[in-house]
Amino acid sequence: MHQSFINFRHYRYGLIAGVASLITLVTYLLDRPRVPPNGGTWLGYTLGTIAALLVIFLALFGIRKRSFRSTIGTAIGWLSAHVYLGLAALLIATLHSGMHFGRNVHTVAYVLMCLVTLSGCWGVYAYVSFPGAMMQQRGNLRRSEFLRQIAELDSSSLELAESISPQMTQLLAEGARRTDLGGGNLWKQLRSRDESTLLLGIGSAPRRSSLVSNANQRALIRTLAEIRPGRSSSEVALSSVQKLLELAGSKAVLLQRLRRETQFAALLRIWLFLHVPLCCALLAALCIHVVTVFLYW
Amino acid sequence: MLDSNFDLVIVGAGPGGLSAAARAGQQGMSHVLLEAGGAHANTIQQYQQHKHVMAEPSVLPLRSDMEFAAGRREAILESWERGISRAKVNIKYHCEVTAIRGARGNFEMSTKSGVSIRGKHIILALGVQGHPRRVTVPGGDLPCVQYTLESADALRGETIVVVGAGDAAIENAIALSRSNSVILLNRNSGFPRAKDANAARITRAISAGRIKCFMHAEVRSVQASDARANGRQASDNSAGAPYRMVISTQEGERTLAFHRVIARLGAIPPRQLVESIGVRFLSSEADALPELSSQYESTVPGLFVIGALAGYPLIKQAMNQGFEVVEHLLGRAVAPADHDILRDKFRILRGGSDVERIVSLIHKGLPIFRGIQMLALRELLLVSRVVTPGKRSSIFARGDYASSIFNVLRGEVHLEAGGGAPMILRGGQLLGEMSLISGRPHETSALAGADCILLETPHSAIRKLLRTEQSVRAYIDTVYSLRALRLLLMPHASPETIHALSKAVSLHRFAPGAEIFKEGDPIERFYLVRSGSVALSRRTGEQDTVVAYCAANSFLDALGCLSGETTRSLNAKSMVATEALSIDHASFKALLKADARLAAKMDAERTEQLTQYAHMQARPKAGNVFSYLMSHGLGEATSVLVIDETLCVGCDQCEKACAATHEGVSRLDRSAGPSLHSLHLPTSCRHCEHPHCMRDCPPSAIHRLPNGEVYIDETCIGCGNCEENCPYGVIQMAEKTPKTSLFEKLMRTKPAETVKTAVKCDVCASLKGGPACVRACPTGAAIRIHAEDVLELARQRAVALE
Repeated sequence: MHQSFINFRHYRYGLIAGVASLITLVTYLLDRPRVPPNGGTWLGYTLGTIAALLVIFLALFGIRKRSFRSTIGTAIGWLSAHVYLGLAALLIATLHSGMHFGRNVHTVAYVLMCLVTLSGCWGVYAYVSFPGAMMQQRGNLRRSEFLRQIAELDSSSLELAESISPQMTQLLAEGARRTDLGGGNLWKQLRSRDESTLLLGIGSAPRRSSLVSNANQRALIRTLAEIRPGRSSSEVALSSVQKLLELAGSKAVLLQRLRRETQFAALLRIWLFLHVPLCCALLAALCIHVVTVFLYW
Repeated sequence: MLDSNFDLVIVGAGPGGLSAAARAGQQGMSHVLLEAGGAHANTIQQYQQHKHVMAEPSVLPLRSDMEFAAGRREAILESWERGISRAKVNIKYHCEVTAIRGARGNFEMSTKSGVSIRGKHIILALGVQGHPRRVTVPGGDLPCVQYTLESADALRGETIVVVGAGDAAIENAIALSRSNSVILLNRNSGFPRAKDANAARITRAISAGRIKCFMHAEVRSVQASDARANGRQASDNSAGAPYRMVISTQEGERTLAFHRVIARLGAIPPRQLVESIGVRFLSSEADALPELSSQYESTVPGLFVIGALAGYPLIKQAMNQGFEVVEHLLGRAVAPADHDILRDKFRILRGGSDVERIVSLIHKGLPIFRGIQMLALRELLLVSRVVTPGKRSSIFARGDYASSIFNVLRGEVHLEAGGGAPMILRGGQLLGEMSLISGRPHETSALAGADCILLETPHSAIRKLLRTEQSVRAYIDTVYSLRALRLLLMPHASPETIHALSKAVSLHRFAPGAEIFKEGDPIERFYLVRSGSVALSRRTGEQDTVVAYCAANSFLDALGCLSGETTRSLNAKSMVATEALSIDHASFKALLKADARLAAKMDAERTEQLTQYAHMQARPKAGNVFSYLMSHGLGEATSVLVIDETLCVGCDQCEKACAATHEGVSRLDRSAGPSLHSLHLPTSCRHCEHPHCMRDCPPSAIHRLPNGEVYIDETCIGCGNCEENCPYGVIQMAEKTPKTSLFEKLMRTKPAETVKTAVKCDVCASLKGGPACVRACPTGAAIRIHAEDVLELARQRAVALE
């Protein structure tokens, strides 16, 4: 049945990568070159070649992912291999360097590789933990159902407000209109800040009305809570106000869940904006590294 | 011309009548074509505008002096109009025949207008539409009451009362509800006369409030509103409805204001007229057909019946028959239109050129077809094929999905089940009936013997026959019982024992969700599920915990029946429409005692079921997951996409892959569909055991491959029946624009007309590696499973949730 890219085929690529790493490490430790270990020894060259080939293989995943007719393995198999062999590649590249770092193009390539792997690790973390978290926020609701429920809450509130007073109707209509559903550009999705606002003091002189933050429907709830029974409202109106408070509370919860879900969805995408360009930079740096090494041989 | 004598009088100017008259006209035969209405082809005139009319069966050549090819209603009517003048057809409109007397050579017909016509021969091409049943209450003759609906789009903003509960009423009500306010009046409480899909659609529309419906309602009177009656300006009425009707409901009488009534109360078939002449019918049932010779001559010599009234509802068939009857009357030997096609099919048989003899041999030799009319058999043979598999070659393999049944014409077939000696089938015997009934893969493998000749008939043709022919139904039921008892229960028993046992078998049908038995019921019968699936559950506290699942060809609660209990300890509920065979428990117990091998087999079954119970009982959550999956139709799925939401990152690679491999149109909608327990069922084809989409496909464009895949081929005419019949909403109508050359584009000679065709998941049959959606999922969230895997999926999910 279902298996994730982590435990794909009983950790097949994890085992392959583990064994490869172990062999590399043992060989490195046992190797006694005449000069201190570096990329120029026979082992250095071998590891370098392996690491470079691995990097190319890892980059090919980007192409395979988009080749929907390809019969070379499945996307999940490729991703599983990509993750485990990517980790192994960093180890092999590190051993290849023999821990010689400096201010040069070779170190740039290495640093880029570390960054690519690091962003990849974040990606793995995100892929493993966010879908479940997203699902918890979402419950069994689809995004469209969230929006429908929010719209329903708004229309029930308005219907109720109409029975109270025109000011109340206007207050709630404005509140509904200025609700921030959590969409917008990627930055806004990631920040996940509720930028809903509320226009207070409607009906008074234009200068007296003010626009305040209505994050988590707090301003609305407060305004509703400040209505005192007995002064302007009858008993019936009080129960209506209570109902309005309930509706506002439910809306706040829904908005929060929707925003969190949107944030997770954005987090699931954002790392690729780092991972892929860094990978391209790495490929370029790797080419320069290889060319310069052979040029100055 | 009236009060005169003709060689041939044709009654009814539908396709059959027109074709007969055109032939007579061409050949200079003295004839008259009498049409009750004011135009030719009344039924087609009443089709909605621009309706695509089909020319089925496509294999059958057209024999007529009238042109006919599939196309728009308007084009066809126009071409017939031209044909009438070209062939010098003597057509008389508004000439309704009310009585026919006399005999061959001297028939006399009276018409409604009082004139009488004499003729030597008569062709009745009346159709079955007859006259619509009318609203007979006071005011029923007001102009606001109409019996047809040409175009629903032409009406907007009206309040329309639709009367009736059949397909026509439902289809009209739904089409009108888009731009009008519709009230449906139903004399009964449900929609038993309607097609399942229509019944489901109308029920949805009523519960969603799009259509208002009164059940047990009847029209009492119709009248113009007072405003109208008082003769006020029409503009005053535009706000209010101009008519009112009084209806009776269970709660008493009510008054409805409305603009228009569409009464779709069915039609009165013209059987009475036909019978009054002395034509014998095959039975007394309302939809029985008249007894006809192979030249369509009725039991009254000289009187011929063709078209829908003779049991041939398709346009092309009726046209061919009209032509053939006239040729026959002109004294020319005419072979039926299908003669050449059948001769080609029978070529491999000895003496195959004598089509009539072979057809009659098949009719006599195959018990399944013995009870059906010769003409119906010919129709079936048109879509069947004669196959000659070599000795020891496979006819079908165990585990393959079936799309046809086979009849042994000659030689023998070896049917091999899991164990025991193969069953040998000889000439006249049927194979493939178990898959036909269960919709599941073959339980047996069939190998051809020496000199084996088979007749292969597609499921779609047999299903059509099953709906209308009781004898075919009864035969298949009997064969199924015998084979199921033999193959599934007692492979070792003698044919006599099986035969005796089959006499005690009864057949039960259960609607989806029906209770078959419940805890505490006495065990009276031992059931074998024949089609559909059943969930067994146990009540623990407040809720039912599902403990087992029985698919087709499995025994229901064998445990209870085998444990010596007298009452049921489980509830059994059908998950989808289900059929089951049963024998009474006492006889079954006696059988167990007498047959040690059966007892051993059942003991193994018992152990397996107990193991399953233990797993499921320990995890009530698995039962919940299972119930959720089953409630969304997974009980009939052969390949359904299930997404694990804890793995899905929402990258939509599945949709992208689907679109990339299917001309840019994704056949699945990942985000749509239900979710529960982190399992999401996206809107995508499930490849059902009994595909709902295949049920009503006019060009038979939907097929199933041995691997279970259901696909739509390029003969799809875009009628949308499959889209409506699919309960899971997985078929979409995609618009395809035919390719135009650069020259055509530059010249803009004709605006390219888009063609609608149905598209759905084909499990990427053309791709080597299997479904692209699953192969493209990088996180392993998307998998495809079979109904049999649902229980295991539920169990694994329950473990993950704990």
